[in-house]
Amino acid sequence: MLTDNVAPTALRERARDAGSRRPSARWGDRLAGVVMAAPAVIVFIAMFIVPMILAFVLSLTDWNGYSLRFDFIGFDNYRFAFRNPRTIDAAVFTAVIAVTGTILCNAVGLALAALISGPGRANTVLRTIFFYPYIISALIIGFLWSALLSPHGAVNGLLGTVGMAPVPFLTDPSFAKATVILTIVWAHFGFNMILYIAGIKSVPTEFYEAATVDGASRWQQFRSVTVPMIAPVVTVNLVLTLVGLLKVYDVVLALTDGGPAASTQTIVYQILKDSFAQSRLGLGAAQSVVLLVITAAIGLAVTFARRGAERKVTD
Amino acid sequence: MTTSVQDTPTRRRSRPAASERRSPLAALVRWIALGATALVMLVPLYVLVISAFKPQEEIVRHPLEISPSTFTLEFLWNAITSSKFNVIAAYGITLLFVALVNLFCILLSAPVAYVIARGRRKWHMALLLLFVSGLFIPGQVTLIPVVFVLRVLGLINTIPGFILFETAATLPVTIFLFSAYLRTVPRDIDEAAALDGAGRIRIFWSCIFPIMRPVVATVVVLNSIGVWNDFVSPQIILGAGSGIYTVTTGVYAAVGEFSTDYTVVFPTLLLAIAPIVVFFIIMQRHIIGGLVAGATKG
Amino acid sequence: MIKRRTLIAVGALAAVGLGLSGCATGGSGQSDGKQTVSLLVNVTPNLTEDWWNTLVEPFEKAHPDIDVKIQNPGAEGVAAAVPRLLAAGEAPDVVESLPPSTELAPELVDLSKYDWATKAPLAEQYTIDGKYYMAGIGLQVQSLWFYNKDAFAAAGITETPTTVEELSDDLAALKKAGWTGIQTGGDWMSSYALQTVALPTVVAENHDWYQKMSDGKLTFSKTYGDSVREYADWIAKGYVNDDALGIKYPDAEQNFLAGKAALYPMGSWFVASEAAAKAPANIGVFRAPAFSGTKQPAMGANIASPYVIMKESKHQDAAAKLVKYLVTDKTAILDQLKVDGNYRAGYDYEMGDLGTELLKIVNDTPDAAYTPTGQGYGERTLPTGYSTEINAQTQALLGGTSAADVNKAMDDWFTANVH
Repeated sequence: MLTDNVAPTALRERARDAGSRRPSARWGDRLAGVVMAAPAVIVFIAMFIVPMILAFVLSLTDWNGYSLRFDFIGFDNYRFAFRNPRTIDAAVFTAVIAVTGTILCNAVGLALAALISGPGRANTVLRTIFFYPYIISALIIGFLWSALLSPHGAVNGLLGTVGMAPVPFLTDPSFAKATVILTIVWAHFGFNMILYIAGIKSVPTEFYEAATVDGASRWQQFRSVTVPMIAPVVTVNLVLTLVGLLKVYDVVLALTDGGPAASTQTIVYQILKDSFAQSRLGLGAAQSVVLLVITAAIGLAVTFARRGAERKVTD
Repeated sequence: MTTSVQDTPTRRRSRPAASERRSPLAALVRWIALGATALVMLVPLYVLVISAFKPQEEIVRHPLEISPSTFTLEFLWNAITSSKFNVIAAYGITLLFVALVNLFCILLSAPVAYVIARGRRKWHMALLLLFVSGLFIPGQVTLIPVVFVLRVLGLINTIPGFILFETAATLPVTIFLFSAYLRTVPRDIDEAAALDGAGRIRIFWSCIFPIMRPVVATVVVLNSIGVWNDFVSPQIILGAGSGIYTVTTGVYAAVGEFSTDYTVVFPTLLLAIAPIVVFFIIMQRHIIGGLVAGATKG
Repeated sequence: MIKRRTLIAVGALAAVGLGLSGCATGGSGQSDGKQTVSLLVNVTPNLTEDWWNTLVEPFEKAHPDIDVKIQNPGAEGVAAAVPRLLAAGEAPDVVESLPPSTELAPELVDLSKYDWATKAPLAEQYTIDGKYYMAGIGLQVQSLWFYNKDAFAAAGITETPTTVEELSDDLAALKKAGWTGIQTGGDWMSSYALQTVALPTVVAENHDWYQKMSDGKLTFSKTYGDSVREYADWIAKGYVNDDALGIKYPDAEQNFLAGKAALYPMGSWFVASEAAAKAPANIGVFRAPAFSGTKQPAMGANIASPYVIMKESKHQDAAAKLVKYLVTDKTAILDQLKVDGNYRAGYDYEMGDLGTELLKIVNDTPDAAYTPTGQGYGERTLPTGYSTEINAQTQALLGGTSAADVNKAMDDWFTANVH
């Protein structure tokens, strides 16, 4: 882990003799350290810590976002949020997206990574093909699929030519939910795949050789060598995807705008709508705080849970 | 220890051994799976490109075909010259934002990551945890109060305000990657430079930073993609009234209300993604390579 | 090294960028003694940005020191854009199509001292606490059914319906004749049909329905429930276009103009769309009926093009001059009335047959029958979010949810949101 290279003794002796470790130099070093760290710390505090505290404070008010008057209303916003059917639906749907999306993205990503992690032109081309949606903004992906899946879109047009009735991808609440999840997976799995490829490539080949000598088949090698060795990559992938999918907004805005009948609203969609369109910033802030707590809890929980799996690997 | 062949790279050796055992059926299944997935990935892009050159009825009735008789540049031209959304200006502005955010991100993150990586005290660890905690704070949570903070600072609806927020958003990942990388850099270099009487700041920028090239490349790739594709931050901080459109907010303004008029949607989307996709195809080795390198270090 | 060169290049770019950004702030500014008054407007297929710019040209010519900047709120619309702009401290000077509400009133300039505000149409109805906050140009009536005359002829309907029950029978006849009954859509217009069915009865039976609902003294299911059941019944019987959830307002309107449906619940602004259409179907209009036994059905009416001045504006005098021009200049008023099919006593403009039919309805409607629609205005308002909620619920109806579930959901919503 921490490869802390210590200068050879001779060098250190010379340094001491040269007197470059004088107290004033050390003080200068410390000042330099502060100067180097300060800008980042200040910006971070101003744009992360202070707003977080503000969010919590605001969540206890009924501020509408612009007037100078607001009242402290205690935990009313939280009570409303936890009882409001719309908020609960949005939270449930967000959770569904996060869990199923993570499972699908990682399953598909890992499977494809296993297939194309080798060298060769074909594999490189395939990697590009699977990864490219990641570099396109989620908003544009949402608009693209919204056009393709609409009742008059390309997909229904194709289904029509083979004699099938149009599928209400975006106009039926249940279908719309599935469409949202599948669109997200379509755009995201390439990222997971790349990380898995990196992980697979870094497994030393000696392990595979040993397994081949033991007569293990490719599938057995994959299960007993590859999977355990890439445990850290699996953790990173799970945490990143899970935490990332909790924040889904752009693609939903473009694909369904939360509809039909408010069935595909996510928690962030709800927060932004409450905060700005309906001028209930206090309510939006309360939901944000809840989201923050849940995100942190999930992130930490998954990380700690995976520590166990990773520890089994360290030889 | 390898037994038979001595000089050939071990990796190449294991491949032939493996594929020998892959049955033709397995290979066929593999190619079908890969081919089908590739089709699912590429067909939407294909439809997007050809639909930008077709009139509405053609898009609806013959989604997969493009025929010379109905090929038209009219709608693409309308999108380019649209008064709603000046695509060329949006490219310029977004490119400027990407450059500025990258610049400031590196200027801020690299020094503090160096301090953290070289630090031996507890509070250096605490500093790292502080920044990493930013990874778990969703941007939208801070967005609402950030609007308030920027308003107090007089920076709301301005470019400096937006740059400030975006730079802050890149700090957690960047500092994390930088400090992890710097831990693997031997201290000899620092010590040697200190001998020559250089201060810490000079040591860092002249001796350490130049060898951070790989991780800087990774970070630039990640942050550039992030800033280019960000929608919520410019929409809320720069605001629709400021007249400044990035590629994403511009697309939303142009397409948002007219999402069933395909002669507007597809050309606009094509214009928005064409440069990035082309850039990606050309640079894909570096981009994907950069991410892979960053992943293995992390 | 390459790294250093690119760093210098980027640094130079940054310097230029920051320098430029100093000039690139939004909102109203001042340059060579000219004031810029920003006007946030509702942009629609009728009211294009070009049309707005042409409208204010004569004013700009008469006031060379004032420049009017038209702002387009984009897909979110004026109502959603204003709170966001206010929160960001970037409020426009004048806002069009935003009726004053008790929530918003503290942010608006009190116009009570201006004659052109207190004597404008519907001025009294829109006061809050006795103060006048807006000035509009005319009336927009909303409880209307536009119908395809050929469809009615084909179904053997000789007289337009005067009660909801008659309308229901007509829909059955239209279906039998092979016509799609009601044309509706999946965005904001979903709830429009429901409101057209309900409001004439609901408000006729409870004149202060808005206040009573906001105070929690009436429930949704007791007042609106019958209309929800009726509409749900029509949906179940197939009287509503089945692709409703998949199309948006512009397309729905095009469908009706092309003669693909028999009935279209919409406001008076549709008259302007029909007049502008190239080859529209044969279209007539009748006022939205109430359930039988209702005395004097209510008629939804809103102020047409209300203008308010934001308190945050740094150019309030110039803004007041602009609004005065927009609501008193005869040519400007006629332009605004005509482009959106709005009406005002004493202001006659050339209108087609459909417009004339509508004018007759307006003339036959007594003042007392006018009611707010949607979330309401002045002191007759419902809790924030009502429009969004009833729209979502109507979409649920279109998707097959039962009337009972929708009624209960709305009741729950009111319980949660009434203070």
